Amino acid sequence: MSQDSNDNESVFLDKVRRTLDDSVDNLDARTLSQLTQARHRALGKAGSKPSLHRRRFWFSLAGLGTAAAVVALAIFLTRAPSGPDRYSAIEDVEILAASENPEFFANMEFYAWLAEEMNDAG
Amino acid sequence: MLDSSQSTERFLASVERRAFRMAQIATNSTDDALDIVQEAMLNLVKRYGARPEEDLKPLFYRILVNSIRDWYRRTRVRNRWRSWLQTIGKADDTEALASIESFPDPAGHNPEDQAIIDDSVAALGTALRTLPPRQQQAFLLRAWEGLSVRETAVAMRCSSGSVKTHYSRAVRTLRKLLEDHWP
Repeated sequence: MSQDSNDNESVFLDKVRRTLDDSVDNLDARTLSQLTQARHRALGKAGSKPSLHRRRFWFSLAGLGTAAAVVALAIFLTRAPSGPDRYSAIEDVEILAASENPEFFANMEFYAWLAEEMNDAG
Repeated sequence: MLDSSQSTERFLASVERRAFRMAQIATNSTDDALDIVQEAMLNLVKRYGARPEEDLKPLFYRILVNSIRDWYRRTRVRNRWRSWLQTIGKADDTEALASIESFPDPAGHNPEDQAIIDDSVAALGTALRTLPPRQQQAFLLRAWEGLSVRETAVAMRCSSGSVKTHYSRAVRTLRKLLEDHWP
């Protein structure tokens, strides 16, 4: 690589760094506050064990979500000739069920309910 | 002398904004980026909170890169299932279909997010989003976060050779994409 080309690349990279640095320096107050809260939550949560009651709640929610995913998969396997193929559908449920995000379980429950409703209507 | 929780907090405070921006570039969503950063912080503290501060950077970015990869996988799968559910519901339930369509697309543009980013950042963000995820990560970790090739390889769980390849391809593509903006 020539000296000119190296210099140009270095100038380009400096500009990228400056632009990205500016973008974090100008983050809005709301985002900065959310980041600070996230940090405090992480430091606080890591030091405390969840109560038995709380663990039971999350286990129940996770169980419900997994059950909903299985229901959706069962409906898919018995009903859909087209769409995601059977093997990738099973893999999909594994990927989604491995997620710890409770929002997903709530959504999956909705999808399962919706699929069931459509199945009944059809 | 700082105890380990103080030094971890100091470390997290020093990387959280950049980590957020990296996640936001990857997901194009402020909410998802905040979730990813919080998850990465929590996992770092839980697993490696007692490590010396100088070890934390590659470990944190390794967790962040993993979380972003999981986000891509979950988003891909969710979109596939949504589109399948839309297909089967099309004929007889337009109301339900409208409900599905009203879900925010995690990969879609959010006008609120875009408004906070100025032109130059927007142009760079757009260019970065066109890169394959591995190139995007290698570029941001090396060029912006200043990780060495070896540290980037640790964060990305790949070889140093792969990091060099991803990085050089990313630089080439970005220079081409941004030549009109940044001659």
